[in-house]
Amino acid sequence: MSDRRRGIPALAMAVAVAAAVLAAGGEMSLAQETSPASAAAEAVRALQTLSGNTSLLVLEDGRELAAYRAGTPMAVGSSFKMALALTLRKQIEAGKHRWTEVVRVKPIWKVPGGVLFPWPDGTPMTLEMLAGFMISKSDNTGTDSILHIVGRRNAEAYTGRNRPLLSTHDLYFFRDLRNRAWIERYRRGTEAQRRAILDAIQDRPLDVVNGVYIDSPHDFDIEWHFTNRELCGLIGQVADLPIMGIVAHGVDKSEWKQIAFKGGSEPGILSGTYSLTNKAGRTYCVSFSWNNPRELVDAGAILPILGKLFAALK
Amino acid sequence: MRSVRITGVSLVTLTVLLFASVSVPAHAPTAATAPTVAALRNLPGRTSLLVLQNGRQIAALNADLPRAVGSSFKMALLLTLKKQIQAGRYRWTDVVRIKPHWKVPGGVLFDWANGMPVTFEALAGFMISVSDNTATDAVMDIVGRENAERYTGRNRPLLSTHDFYFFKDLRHRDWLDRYRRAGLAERRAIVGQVAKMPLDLANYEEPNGPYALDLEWFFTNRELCGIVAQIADLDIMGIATFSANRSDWARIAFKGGSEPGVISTTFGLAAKDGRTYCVSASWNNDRAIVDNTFWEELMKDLIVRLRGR
Repeated sequence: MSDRRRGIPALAMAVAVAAAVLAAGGEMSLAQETSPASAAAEAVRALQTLSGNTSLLVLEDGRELAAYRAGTPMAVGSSFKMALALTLRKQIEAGKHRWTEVVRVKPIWKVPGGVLFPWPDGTPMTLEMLAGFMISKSDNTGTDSILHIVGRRNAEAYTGRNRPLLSTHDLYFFRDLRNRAWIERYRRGTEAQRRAILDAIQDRPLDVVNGVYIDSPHDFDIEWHFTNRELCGLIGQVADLPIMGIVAHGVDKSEWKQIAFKGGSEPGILSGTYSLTNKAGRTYCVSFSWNNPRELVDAGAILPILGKLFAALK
Repeated sequence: MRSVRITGVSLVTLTVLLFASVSVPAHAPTAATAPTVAALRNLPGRTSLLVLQNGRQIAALNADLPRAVGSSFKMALLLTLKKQIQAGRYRWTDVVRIKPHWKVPGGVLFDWANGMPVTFEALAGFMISVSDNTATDAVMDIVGRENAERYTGRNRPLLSTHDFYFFKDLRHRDWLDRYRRAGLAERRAIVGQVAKMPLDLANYEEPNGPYALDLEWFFTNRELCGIVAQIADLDIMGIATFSANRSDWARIAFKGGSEPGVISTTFGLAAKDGRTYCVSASWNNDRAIVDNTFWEELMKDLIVRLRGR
């Protein structure tokens, strides 16, 4: 008896579990059940129909359920902020900082995007609050504060090919079309020269009033680049931090035991990485990226795909 | 020219005309404020306005009649905190961990984890700039409800945002009726009980339109101008400026409040020529929701005219 059970295929197992639940009085529709693996495969097929380049990785308790170009670096926008959260965490664990530590926000840390930009210079904030806004609102002021506090080079221990690691101030500076000459110099530069350029840029205030920014994809090489496998690796190391669970786009918090999320976007770029633990205790990493250098990408096209996948993983 | 009875249509014309003539000099206060006073008189419900220039009244409409002002009361909490900090009881850099019973929807901190460490200045800044209710109840708990009542006049007991949400839940009509009939001591006892009751948001029954506007925070515009003058020097009062254009003024302090049937806005403005203004206005209507967008434009027009050229 026990010998024969060992070979039950995944599909039969799902039916057996559903039958057991029904027998126990539960309400579950057999016809609606989609296994996590087939839902993940379906998500891959759906992503492949989108224009531009897409990629996806779905892990179940660290085991791969689906992978599509998951080892290919993609532009991921603010998703890199997870690496800053990880750096801060490591430094706190090493006793170098505390979450409750109070710092005053410096003028050069202030970058538009998020909630803290209009706040007065010198506002005292805890590190956990700065990090919380960096993650939950993708607050750029919170981000550059954390980047400067942990140190750019220290963060690079977790950002792979992103050397030097750009701050959000740097990105805004390069996105301003008046600074084309700086981009050209940066592209041609060696790592040492690039670091010198960033040092020079760092002290130049962003002139957002006169800046020329366009709402169409450009200069994807000046961005943050990660593979979905790297993003799953990062979120796995920060998913238990309270700041990672404040919001998760497209996820109803109450349906999961634990959630963690960070995404990023720019014109033509969209990326999102989730760590979701369902009530049965299984943890999923879902990381997708979408780059289209020719036109804007639409979050509205991704959310239904993720919604179906999450429903099956839940 | 005979006096014109302002109808809806002529009001629009008037606004357009004044928009076209923003060059009204700042030393012609009546010309700057008269259209606003006229427009406020014409709105359904109860309206009020006070405009002070260097502390001197240049326009007033029902400025001493208390109105429901929603979150504007949070200025009184900030003033209380400022006084306690000046007295050496606290510092702006003090850190407190978010407690579960402070959590009230509305704002940014509601979704944050319990135990999150925040500075007093961050709490105060969120209370004012995004009217964050979790931060508000945190500040009220920290400074003490009865201490804050020194600055809130008739609002005794001073309601927390938790209390407010609790009473406005249609399932709690019995609590509301008991509260309405009670004297001060009994009201304090009721609020003490309410403070311990979770909001149960999953089953919350939200009123459709204006509801129980007697259960609110009540201030006159003169009182609001008095409060904003005492905190306008705090930088956190200038994070969000509503309809005042940041680049038009040397300094802006702002707090407003609204709920269905209620809107109130108070500005402390310092002009680049050194003049200071307080502009405080309120609108209550028990019968219909008030138009916040219309209000924003009305205040914007007034503030632009005050600035002059």
